[in-house]
Amino acid sequence: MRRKNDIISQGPSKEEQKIIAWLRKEPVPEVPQEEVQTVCRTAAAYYTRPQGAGDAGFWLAALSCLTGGTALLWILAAFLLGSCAALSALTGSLEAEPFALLIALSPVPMLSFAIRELQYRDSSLVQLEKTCKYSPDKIYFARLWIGMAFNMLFVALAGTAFPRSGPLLKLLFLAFTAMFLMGAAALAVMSFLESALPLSLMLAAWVPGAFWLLCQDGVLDLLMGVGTGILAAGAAAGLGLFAAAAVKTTKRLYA
Amino acid sequence: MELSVRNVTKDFGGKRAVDHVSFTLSCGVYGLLGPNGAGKTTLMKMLVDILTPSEGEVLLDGVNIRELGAAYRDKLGYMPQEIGVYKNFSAQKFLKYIAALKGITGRAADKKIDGLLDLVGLRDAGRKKLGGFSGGMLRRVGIAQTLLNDPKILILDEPTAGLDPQERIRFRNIISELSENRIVLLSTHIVSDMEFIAGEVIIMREGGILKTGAIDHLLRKMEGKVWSALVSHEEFHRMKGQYAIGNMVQKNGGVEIRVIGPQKPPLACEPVKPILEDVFSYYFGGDV
Repeated sequence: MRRKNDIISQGPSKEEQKIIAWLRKEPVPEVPQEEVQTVCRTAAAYYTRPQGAGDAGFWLAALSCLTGGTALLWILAAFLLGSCAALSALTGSLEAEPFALLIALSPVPMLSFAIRELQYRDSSLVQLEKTCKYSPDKIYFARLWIGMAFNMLFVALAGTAFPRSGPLLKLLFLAFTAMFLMGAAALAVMSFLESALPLSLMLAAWVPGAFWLLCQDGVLDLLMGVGTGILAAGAAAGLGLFAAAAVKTTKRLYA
Repeated sequence: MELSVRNVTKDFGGKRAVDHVSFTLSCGVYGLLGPNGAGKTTLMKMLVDILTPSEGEVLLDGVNIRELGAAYRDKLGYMPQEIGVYKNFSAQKFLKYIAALKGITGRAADKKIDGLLDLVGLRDAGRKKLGGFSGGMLRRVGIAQTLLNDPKILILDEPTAGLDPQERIRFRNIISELSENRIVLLSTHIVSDMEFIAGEVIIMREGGILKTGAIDHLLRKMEGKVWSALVSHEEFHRMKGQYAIGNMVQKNGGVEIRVIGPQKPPLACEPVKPILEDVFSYYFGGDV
């Protein structure tokens, strides 16, 4: 394809010359100046501005829609993970296996985010949101992924700080798998129940339950014995499930 | 700019809420009048693309609003009949959230929000939680969110409901200021509001359009059809079934009534200047 400057320097191409010759032969109806201007104005107003998710403004809008409360929850979750890591690293005497603690705590930021999203949901507000420039379903979908990205970042940072009894990569894959699966389960619950209470119960049950299970003799050894490739595949499958749940939940909440 | 409604119909199951409605709006203020269940809200929801018509289409300058998508919504300000808010948000925070959804962020959003809170008289309450707001205050927040993106098309469903007289006057003045170079369509049960704000009205009944036209024109057509009479209570009850009765006031042991009909009623009465409420009573009679 020729560039704009090429056209200026070399004149019209053969195809363009053909079109020009054809247009000269064919009778072209005269269009009033006003009509041309109206069409140009309409086209300029509609089509010159970006409108979709490829627009940087869209992501800025999605980030702006995250409330101060959500940010605070994330900071608290990061602080919790960081404190556990620091305490564990400094004392080395934590009875709990730090590995298990990280995996059990990994879905907390995402679940807290999901709970908060549902807590203040109002169906009549959805109608208002639907009339805004950016579709609320797309913004919500983007927010879910922003939430998950922050969650992954927190877990990765905390993972590097924890004293480890195994390779970091395996630890992260396990934590990410737990995070994706719990995220997918939370979204599935949100999709059907549209209530924050079951999510709070899920969160309340998951952290001590997972921690207890992982602290049982042999469970962590069993997990650490699994190959890195298989753990990576498990994390990828979890991510796929989370993505599918995100699509389904968004569609359902904004139908 | 032209917003055209072409042969739009909306069915909900077996019930037809809007029935083959067509009209075109250009810049100006239009009032949508009709009794409850006439299809006003359904029509408005189709105009803002929340509902999809079962038949027909809504076009902006000849392009279907569904095709325009975000480009159309970017020009739109909508105030629903029931305003949903995040009750734990302050007015400022809520407006900031809606501004983000409308693609306005950062300082531009803050500046706009401050100006709008001022405009709707909520500057002092801007930091208070919406959960503690009265119905009137929430409607004012609703009006403010409508104007965030400087919309070219304003669709307002019952914007004055719950506002006190002073707030209504303030709102009417805001709309009058905004009406230049914009399409404003509003529905309200307060017919007198319509008379002050709207240039033209669209009267709906049972999903269809009963009448459209400039308010002046409709009022002129009503001249000679509105009478004022002082009647006894017995006469009033007898007349109620036979004539459309507008305003009534208890006076001097009787009832002063406005009687609306094509012919002079057979009682002592005087012709009076019609108002928009009389037009409404004329077309809807007992439905009012």
